[in-house]
Amino acid sequence: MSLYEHVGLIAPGISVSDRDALAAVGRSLGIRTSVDDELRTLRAELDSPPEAVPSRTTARRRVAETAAELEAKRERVATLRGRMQAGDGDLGAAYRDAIKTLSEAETEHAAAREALEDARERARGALDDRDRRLRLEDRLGNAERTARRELISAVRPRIDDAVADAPGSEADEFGDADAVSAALALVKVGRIRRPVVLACGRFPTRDAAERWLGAPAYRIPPRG
Amino acid sequence: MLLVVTYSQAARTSLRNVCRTHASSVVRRLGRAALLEETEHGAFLALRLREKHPETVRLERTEPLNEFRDVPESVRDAARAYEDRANDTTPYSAFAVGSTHPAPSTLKSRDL
Repeated sequence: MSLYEHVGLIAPGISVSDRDALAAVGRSLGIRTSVDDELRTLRAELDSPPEAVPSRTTARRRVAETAAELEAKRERVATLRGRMQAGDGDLGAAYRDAIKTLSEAETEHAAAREALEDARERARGALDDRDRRLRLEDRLGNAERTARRELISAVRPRIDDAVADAPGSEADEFGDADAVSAALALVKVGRIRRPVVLACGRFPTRDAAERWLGAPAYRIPPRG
Repeated sequence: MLLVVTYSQAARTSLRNVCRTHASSVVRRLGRAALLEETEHGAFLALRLREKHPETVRLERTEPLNEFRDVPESVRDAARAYEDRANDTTPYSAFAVGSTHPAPSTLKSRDL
């Protein structure tokens, strides 16, 4: 988020997300941090979209279905065998048929298992890539936190001074400031090119506001 | 048990939330992975995670290893003997040479 997005409009009741806004001031000033190179490298590595992970859902379903079919065919063969052994009529043809479909079911199940194994193998490669990205993302998160910390400590003293100097401010440092004073201090210390909109009644004129802020401003006179 | 492994920050966050909300169905949380109870509720949680993150949630079904049932004696003996070796710096490949223990290549070529 740019500094302007944090403090483009300054009016009573605004909320300033403290640490993000402080870091945005540092960035607007082009302050370097010890992790700038690392951030650039990591962002470049994560720039390309991740490899697609092939779905194994269809293959899993097929394995389960063929397993159920196989079981049914086996039972059919066992039943027929039992009846034949018990001397139940002429079941030779039916038995041979059942054996044949059992063998087909076995082939289909084996093929389904192999397809699932292949799909898992392909997914493994893609998941390795996700693994690598996840580690890079974690490193990026750490580097971003480091950068933010450094940016904040670089600008914090100047912000505190500006807070103490802001018209209508009763605080001596950023942490104790009301939101309007805090936002004014952020604008004063940071670099903002687009005019900020002031509806805070802290300055008598637009000129006075721009002089203090060192930034272009529109002043909306307070109501009443 | 059901092993859930996540491969993205979003999936990891979802897993963390699931574990926090449904602690009674979670056997153990291991960073970006978790072991869930082998109940329908455990499966329900695991499948929800996969529905939400189809590409970056992997599910496995695990069971404790009983080495006395599943692992040949030669492998058990080799592991015990190697951990009991005199010289800590000897790699297993050297340790196995001239002993009755299987070489690493042999171990790798045999399925459990």
